[in-house]
Amino acid sequence: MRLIVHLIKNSLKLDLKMLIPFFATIVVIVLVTSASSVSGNLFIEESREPAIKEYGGEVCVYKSSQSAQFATGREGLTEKWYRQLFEPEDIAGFADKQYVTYDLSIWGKHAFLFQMNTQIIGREYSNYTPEWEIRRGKVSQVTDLAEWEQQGRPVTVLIGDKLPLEIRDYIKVGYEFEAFIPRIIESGGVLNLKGADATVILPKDAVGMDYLDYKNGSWITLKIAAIGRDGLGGVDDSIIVMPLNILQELAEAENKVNRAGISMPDNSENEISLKARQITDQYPGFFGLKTTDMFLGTFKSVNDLAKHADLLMYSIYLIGSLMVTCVLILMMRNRRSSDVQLITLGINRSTLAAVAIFEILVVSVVAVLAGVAIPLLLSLLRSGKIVVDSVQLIRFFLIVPFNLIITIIVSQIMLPNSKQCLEALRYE
Amino acid sequence: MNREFLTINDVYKGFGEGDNRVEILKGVNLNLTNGEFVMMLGPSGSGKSTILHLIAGLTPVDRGQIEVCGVNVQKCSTNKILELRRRTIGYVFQDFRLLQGLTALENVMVPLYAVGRSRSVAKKRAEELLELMELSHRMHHSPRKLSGGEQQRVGIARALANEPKIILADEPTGNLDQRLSDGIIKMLSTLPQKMEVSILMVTHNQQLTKYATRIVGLTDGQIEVQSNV
Repeated sequence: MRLIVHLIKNSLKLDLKMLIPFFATIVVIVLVTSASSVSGNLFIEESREPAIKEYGGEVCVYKSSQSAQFATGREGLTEKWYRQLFEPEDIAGFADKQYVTYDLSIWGKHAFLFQMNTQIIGREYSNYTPEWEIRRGKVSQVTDLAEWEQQGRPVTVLIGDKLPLEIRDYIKVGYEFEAFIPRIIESGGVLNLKGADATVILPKDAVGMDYLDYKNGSWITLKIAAIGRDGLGGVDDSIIVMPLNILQELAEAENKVNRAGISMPDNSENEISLKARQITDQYPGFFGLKTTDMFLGTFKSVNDLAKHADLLMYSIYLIGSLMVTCVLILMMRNRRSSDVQLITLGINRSTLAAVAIFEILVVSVVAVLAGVAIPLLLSLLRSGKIVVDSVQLIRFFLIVPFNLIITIIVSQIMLPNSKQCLEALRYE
Repeated sequence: MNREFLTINDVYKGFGEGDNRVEILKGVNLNLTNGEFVMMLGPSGSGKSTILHLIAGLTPVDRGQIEVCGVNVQKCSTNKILELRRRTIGYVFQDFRLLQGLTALENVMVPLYAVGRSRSVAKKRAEELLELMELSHRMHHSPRKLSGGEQQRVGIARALANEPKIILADEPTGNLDQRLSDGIIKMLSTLPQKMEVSILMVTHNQQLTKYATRIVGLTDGQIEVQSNV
């Protein structure tokens, strides 16, 4: 062992010029693979799983393949709203065109809160999730029940056509958009809908319910401060429509709508597609979109990307392996003269192989650590915390045994045997 | 009492195959006893270096027998030959072949580590040898900072590290001028008196023969002249 350490000292001094590219190659492999992997994470893994992923301290939304949850069946929230706010004849013409809502939580810089003081027929709906409505390829409206900080009172926010987002766009923190804030009308115990006579509406003081006037709202500029994951979490295939302003019309001017939704008893793919088409075709004021279209669209490109990302990664590994092998071959050639001399002095080939292997082992480990440390350090500097993907780390450290195998093979081929020593002594 | 450290008995060696085959050694006989400093002279290509390579077990003989301190080199396993080279034979190269990444002292310590000496023992022994070679002041210099003569003295110290019985010196002054050559050979010639070692040196520099105890001439693959000085 003492001899090996002694010889490594010699090799490190002599082969430094060789080891630097070797070191750099591994660092680059790790960095590029890391970047590729981050892309993979961004576009592939996260897009298939949670809607929201904190990455490097930045909260972003990625479109998720995980189907959005929406209220279905008689227990669903929208179902309840529907039952409570409308009788079928009140919304004749669209009540049977079932639709569902789709939620995305957004906190703007104006510090929206989730809670709207809503209470009806003795039921309380607090921490209510807002809606994210999409029509024909554009994120056209986001309905939020929130507290508008400037007014210090609950509001619903509609993000109108001024939001220049396309499907497959990412809604990111820091994104600025125009939001429509409906005027808030305190109910004062007034019936809110035509034909709701049968509905028991308690006085405002007892119920505490507010209504929204969509004709007298205002536009404000908001900046997304954070995006929650609840809205995209776990929804199955769904149709998204934008009913509220239409509902406002239906409810007639003197009445106010706060929120409405109708559930679909059958939310199968075919049924949703059918309903979406029906709604879109028959009711120009409604816009239906099958969410699976959106996500499948995203998914397709994600899958393509996944394929390319994998190819890219394997290419990097392949090129990296070739480079590592070339550097090793050059290194072994470079030290051939000293190897010949040492074998002539009686040093075992296995000792010389051990020197090469030990050297490569140390350099590989240090290089991988450096390659891993650089993005972690950048992450730390950028966001103040380190995001570690342990699976990824393990994969990087596989480079070390891989390099060892290459080294063993190359050293066995390149280390001179007695005959080659003799030739080297005679002719070199 | 003189002991035989080396016996070369009717050794044949050739290289190449078929029409390209060249017979280098054709029945060489040579003995080396304790304390001898034998110089082997001969023209280039006469097979001088080949004899050293055969003794060191770097290549097998075609015919004949070589014994180093009673050990038949041809019958040795690879490990045994390596052991022989580590402990019994010291090799001095024409072009010094020092490890450039190590100091003079560390170069001499390499063969000592190879036989399992501790660091302190190896260091002490290496220091003694470098003092013997009058290189005390250059111990911690890298070979690049040493002159040719100094490098060769480090090479000799390294060859002596494990108290070998035989030093095989392959034209050790081939890369040195006459003045340095004289110095090196003079130093080599004192070694058999100082320690129990014999030296077989290959050279074609006749001016150096005055330091040898015996001169051997190799011509046409055979020892033709043997003279005691």
